[in-house]
Amino acid sequence: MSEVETRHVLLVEDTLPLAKSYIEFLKSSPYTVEHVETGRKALNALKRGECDVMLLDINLPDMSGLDVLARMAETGMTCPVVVITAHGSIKLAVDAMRAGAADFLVKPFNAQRLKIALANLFERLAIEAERPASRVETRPPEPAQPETVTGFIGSSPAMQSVYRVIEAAAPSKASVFITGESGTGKELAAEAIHRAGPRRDKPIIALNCAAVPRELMESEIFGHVKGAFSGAVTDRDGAAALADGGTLFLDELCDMHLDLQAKLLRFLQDQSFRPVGGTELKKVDLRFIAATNKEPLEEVAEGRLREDLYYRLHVIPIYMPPLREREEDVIDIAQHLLAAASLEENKPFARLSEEVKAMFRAYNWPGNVRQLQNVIRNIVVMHEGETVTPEMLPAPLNRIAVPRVFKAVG
Amino acid sequence: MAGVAHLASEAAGEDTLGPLRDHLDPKAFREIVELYETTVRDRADAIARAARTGDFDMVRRSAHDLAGMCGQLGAARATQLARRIEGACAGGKGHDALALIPELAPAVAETLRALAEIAR
Repeated sequence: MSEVETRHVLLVEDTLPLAKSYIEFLKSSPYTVEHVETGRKALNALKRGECDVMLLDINLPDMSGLDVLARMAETGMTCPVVVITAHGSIKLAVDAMRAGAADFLVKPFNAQRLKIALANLFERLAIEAERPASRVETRPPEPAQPETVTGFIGSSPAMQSVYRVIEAAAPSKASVFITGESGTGKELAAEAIHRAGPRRDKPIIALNCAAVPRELMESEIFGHVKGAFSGAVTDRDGAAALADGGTLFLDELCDMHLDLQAKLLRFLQDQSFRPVGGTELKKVDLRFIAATNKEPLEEVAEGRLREDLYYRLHVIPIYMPPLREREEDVIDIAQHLLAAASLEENKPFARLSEEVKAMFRAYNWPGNVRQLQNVIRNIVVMHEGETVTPEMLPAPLNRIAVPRVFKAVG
Repeated sequence: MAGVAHLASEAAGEDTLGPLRDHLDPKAFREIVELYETTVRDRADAIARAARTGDFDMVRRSAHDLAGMCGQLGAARATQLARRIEGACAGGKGHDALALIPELAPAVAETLRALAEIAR
């Protein structure tokens, strides 16, 4: 039997019965637990440095869990944190994740949930540890080259962090959960993970859970046998069989019906399935990547996404930042898209005017890169010239004011 | 009716103490159940006391603790009331909190009865 490493858990919880319960939950696991009741004691314990993970209640007597995260960030203390939040406090959990928490648990939770959350976290940390660049930096990290991460353009800090997670996650089989608004490149991220990993020679099969009618979805994933339903005139492989050895990308996971989520959970656990109407159990070897443009915690809270499925998939989370959080990248992406569209449309466009650059930077891009792509394509198709000027911009960009500095220059 | 089963049956949540009973020796299990009993009673008393003096911050904090514990126990009614009291205090609606507090006592009493049963 392999030796299991004992991890030290710092539990920060002021309600004693809850703390005792959590300690008991972890008793037969490879964890030692140190319990403190206040944020101040937690920070002191961190200073002593013996902490592999902190389980942090958000509501503490002397400060909030968010304050603890903020102090950790200010002082450079680097212990992965799983926040414990009350049911219905999803916003707090999201705030905590943005403040640096690695994961969250919603009260009440049982022993299994706690152990899965910790196991997922340590799996993710082990993956990251294999890549020194992804560790907490004691020196400035070298900027990841976008071209090394398939298909992405941009070197903003937000994207640097995405590239590092993609590169760290790629060699592993751990499940990845990608969140982000529409048009931020979630599918591109899934492809990048697949292409950069050992499964690159096998297929990546994408399935959009929002686009397939509910009654066909099971067959789309697991396939069917002839006669399984009217219209099933031959045996047909589903995405699971087609992706064998490769990656199954489940886009818009939150739109999957709950009945099927239960079947998917079983499939995730043992990677075996029966095609619709079939009796034979088929076994496959898959890596799972899921994505959603919704807030998964809210979907769990609303009962539209199974919590156990979420935990099973949420091993390596990736947040794709919206374009408005990537101001530095907007122009690089626009230039790249302009060159590509000009080539395709056989047009001479080569640059953006300074006014257009300023407008692009100022605009909030609700449709993200996809919207930028459409804007550029529109300009290239509808206009002539080498330089894109404000007059060429389509709606709604043609309604935003040219930044004042350019008006003054005239 | 077994206490844990009873508590869990009225909840949307999970039976979290049941597996602990299987996992712990009887003495340790009884200690943890007694700790819940003591603390649930203490927080319920604290809510009543703080409400009498108009200390709604204390009402909110105690209601938060109570909700967390009752949620963990699967005691749905007490959890729900405690959360509503906490929310009312957080939203500056002390009158709403005061109106809910009398309903809390029987829900907490029910939770304590069930806990006493399983501690036996």
